[in-house]
Amino acid sequence: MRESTLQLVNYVMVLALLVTLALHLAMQAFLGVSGYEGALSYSTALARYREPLSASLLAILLVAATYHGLFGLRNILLEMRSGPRWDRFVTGTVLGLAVVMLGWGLRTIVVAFGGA
Amino acid sequence: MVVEIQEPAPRQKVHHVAVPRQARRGMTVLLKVYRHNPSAAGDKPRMVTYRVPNTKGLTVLDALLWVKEHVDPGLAFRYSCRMGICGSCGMLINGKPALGCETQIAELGTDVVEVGPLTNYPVIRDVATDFTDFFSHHRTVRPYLIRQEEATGPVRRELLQTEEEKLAYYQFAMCIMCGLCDAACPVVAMDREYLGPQALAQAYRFLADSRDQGWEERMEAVDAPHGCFRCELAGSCSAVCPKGVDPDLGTQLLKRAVLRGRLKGT
Repeated sequence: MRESTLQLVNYVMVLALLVTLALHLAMQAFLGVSGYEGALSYSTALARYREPLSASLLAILLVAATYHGLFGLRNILLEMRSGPRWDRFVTGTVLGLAVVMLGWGLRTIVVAFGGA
Repeated sequence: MVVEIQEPAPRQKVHHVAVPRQARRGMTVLLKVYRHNPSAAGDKPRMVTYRVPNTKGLTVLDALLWVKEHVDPGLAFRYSCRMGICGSCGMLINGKPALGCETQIAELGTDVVEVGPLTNYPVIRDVATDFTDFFSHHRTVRPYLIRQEEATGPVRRELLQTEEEKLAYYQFAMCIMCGLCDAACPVVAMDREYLGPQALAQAYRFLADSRDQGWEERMEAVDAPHGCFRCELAGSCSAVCPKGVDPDLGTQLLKRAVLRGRLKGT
């Protein structure tokens, strides 16, 4: 995949991150709950996971944050050493990390949404 | 790092040289020069200080030439035109990349001048550095007009341009390939494969040229992991350019062109 495509996807993810993070923080602070203390209680958090809108928002937030963070990590690592082998190693490692992070995170959201 | 002061040898006393009146009154500058020969076993980097007579309009290159002529013929540095055209005498002057021939001692505001090799380049000897990677990156972006019709034969007509079309790339055509921008770039310092501001600005120079048709060929180099998107917007390349070119602007315009091209599916 060309670097410009990765960069374009990153810009889209940054926008998604801005919107979903703002909504996420708003929901914690003043939308439907009484302050952070109430929002962070176990029962409130679990209830939020079971609302389709909140669960979708969390899933988008997870994907956007994972992509943006790992894309940045890849860029930093690519600068540290040279050579096509290093490039392939970095991209492979970052893809592996993405699979683990997204798999684990989405599983948590899905399981909680299902009522486990 | 060892610091030593080298005065002219006894047989080359200052008063034997055509030293201007100011110098005889004691107006001298201390020129601290990085000395190192990596190919000589056991030779370690050191700063050697020379006392050079200061004259009106004395440039750092003049001072180095004076040292080479009167004190140490073994001092290595690169130069050619002495008038800021060829871009050969790029060096680190008091910590900043600059052309030796364009930097007057007086404008530095100090009588102690430190001269070293450009950062981000391997040292060949003393102040002379190896530009192999730099030229290789430059060649990678194909810095020449590419015409598709040339595949079938030579161009048989003039390729006309409007003034506006010329201004789209004109400032980037002023690059003299002195390499100061790459020496100042923090990304080049980290990433040896990064094309660097000079090559990227030149890629844009030809992409923005209305006569050029080499989009696809250049994209292979520019739209790559070590291409234009590695630029971190430090802007130091533009700050040191002796010709007033803005390589940082060229790189950002190149990024925009590449992203627009991607959105259009080219």
